[in-house]
Amino acid sequence: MNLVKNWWWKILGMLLLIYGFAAGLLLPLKTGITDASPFTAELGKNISIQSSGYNTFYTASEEHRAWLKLGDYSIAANSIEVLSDQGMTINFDIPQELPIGIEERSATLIIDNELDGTHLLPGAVYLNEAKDSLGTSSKSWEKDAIKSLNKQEGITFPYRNTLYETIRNTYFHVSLWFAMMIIFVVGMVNSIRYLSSKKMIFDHKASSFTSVGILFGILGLLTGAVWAKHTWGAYWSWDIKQNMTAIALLIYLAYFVLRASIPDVDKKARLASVYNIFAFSALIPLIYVIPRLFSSLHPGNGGNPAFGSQDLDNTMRLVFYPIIIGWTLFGWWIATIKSRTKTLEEKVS
Amino acid sequence: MLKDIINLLKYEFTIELRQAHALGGLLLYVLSTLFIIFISFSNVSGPIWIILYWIIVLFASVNAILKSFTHEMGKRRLYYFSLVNGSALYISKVVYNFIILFILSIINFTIFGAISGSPILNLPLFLLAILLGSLGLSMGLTLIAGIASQSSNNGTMMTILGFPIIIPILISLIHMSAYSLQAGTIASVGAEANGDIMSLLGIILLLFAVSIILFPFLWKN
Amino acid sequence: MKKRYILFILGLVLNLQAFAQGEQIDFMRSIGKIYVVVAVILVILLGLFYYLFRMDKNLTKLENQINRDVRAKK
Repeated sequence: MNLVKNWWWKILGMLLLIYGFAAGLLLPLKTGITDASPFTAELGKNISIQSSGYNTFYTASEEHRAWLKLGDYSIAANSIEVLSDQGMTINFDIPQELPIGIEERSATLIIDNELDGTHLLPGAVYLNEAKDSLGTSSKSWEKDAIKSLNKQEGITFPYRNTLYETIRNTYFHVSLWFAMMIIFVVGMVNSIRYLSSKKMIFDHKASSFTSVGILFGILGLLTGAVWAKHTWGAYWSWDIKQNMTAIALLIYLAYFVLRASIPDVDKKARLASVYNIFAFSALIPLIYVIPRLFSSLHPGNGGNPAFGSQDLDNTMRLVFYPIIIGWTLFGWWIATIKSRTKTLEEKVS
Repeated sequence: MLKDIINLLKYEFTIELRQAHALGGLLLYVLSTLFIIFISFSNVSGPIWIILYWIIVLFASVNAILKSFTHEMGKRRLYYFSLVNGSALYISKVVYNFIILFILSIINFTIFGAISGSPILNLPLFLLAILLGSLGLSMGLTLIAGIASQSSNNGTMMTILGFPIIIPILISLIHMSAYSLQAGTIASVGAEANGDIMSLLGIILLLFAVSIILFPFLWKN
Repeated sequence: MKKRYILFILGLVLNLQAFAQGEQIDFMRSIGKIYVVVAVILVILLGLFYYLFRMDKNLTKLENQINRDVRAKK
């Protein structure tokens, strides 16, 4: 009975992490179009676009359809030739003029078949005016003509250009940041409990939780740097959320420098607890102040550290939230082991 | 409570006046920093001027606030402080630091402007920024100074503990003062500067509320 | 001494990466950038291992102290 009481949350944490890692790595991405060439076309001319799909199985599908879309208007493809599972050539007759009332010239390429569902590439083709001779196309734009689209079956993660498979890092990198904040809050609560009860155990807990929080913070920063290098091009880009994590780490590293500089145990615990609470409350305005001043590369921009509904679809939530809880429980476990060691240390000396 | 605060303030200022050299030292500190800056930069553009100004004020305030805790840190003082309420002590410290910082910022502004010519066109807004700035810095750093003064090597400790905490205040201040580069009055600036003023007031209130609860724990054993 | 090793390994890793980038620029970007995910997971694992290693060292120190105390009592 005792075994269950002491272990249920540790096992829950492990199971959630295993689930999160397995689902996060194994589930496939949705289909997408990685690129289409050429990326310019002339109005009134015929164009044949080479498009390459991602995660698609074109040869296995029978009925292919494709459109170029500008606003609400679109034209359907003349003919589609499937080259391989990922490649197809699509022929379009571009109308003589842009649709009435539309200034936008970058058309979206949309491909649809019964197996891969609908996938698209925004801004795939830029429509120029015809240069030398007038075009011969007799086609015209149709309004709201894209109908009865297919849906891809199975559980999948969203496909995003430039992110590709790294969208899975949401589970391994972003979740660490959330877990870090939760762990820091637990550390602060323990500091409050120390100040109100003066029991040494709470100080051990506070410093252990803070230490695990720093571990998560550093891991979040490093993994973020690796991810940023391959999506934004630089390890560190002075982005809000990177800065915020860095400032949080500075605050909590200072917490440990403070602890190291005071020899007396009670005084150390008292001053460190005061600083912990004060620093955490000073961290709160940061979340509101900094985003107002800088634009961010990060998704979920505009003061809200959580992802907006556009960036996190329902399938991702099913993995994302469990893995946050998983990391938190895992960190909690490490922190308890650490604080138990500290309590023993205190008893021995 | 109010009587305690007034008495403590009187005590602080008496000590301050008795040790006029310490205050003079701070002024000299600001002066020599300014001198170095104007040797290094031949001319300073508006935004840079503002950033430099606030950074000088930040460093001066770190020194000034820490000084208010470390001067005469003897047994006698501890005994004296054990007689009064911790919150009263905190309020007197904050008020004292605020006054010192405000005077220091104004002097800094005058000298800075006299040497390099001030790019500030909206003077009322910048004065409001100075007021909020010295209030915010004293709120943010007084408790930290209380902590740092009890640890070993308190000068380093003060910067390590204080700087990350002061970042939101400093950023809002620089952001807000940037609007004073355009002519106008406080009322004429747009919603953006008002947002900065609001967020500064919010931070000041938050830090004050937290500090006044936590400060007594620094002295009680 | 320990710090020097860490710096050495860090330098090695950075060099290797620079090398990899020079040799075939698209390794990290191949197969839908899946290797970025691999790198992220490796970083997390290495970090956790390092943390465990440090905790283990602390605990060993404590064990030695207890053992010494017990022997002293005898």
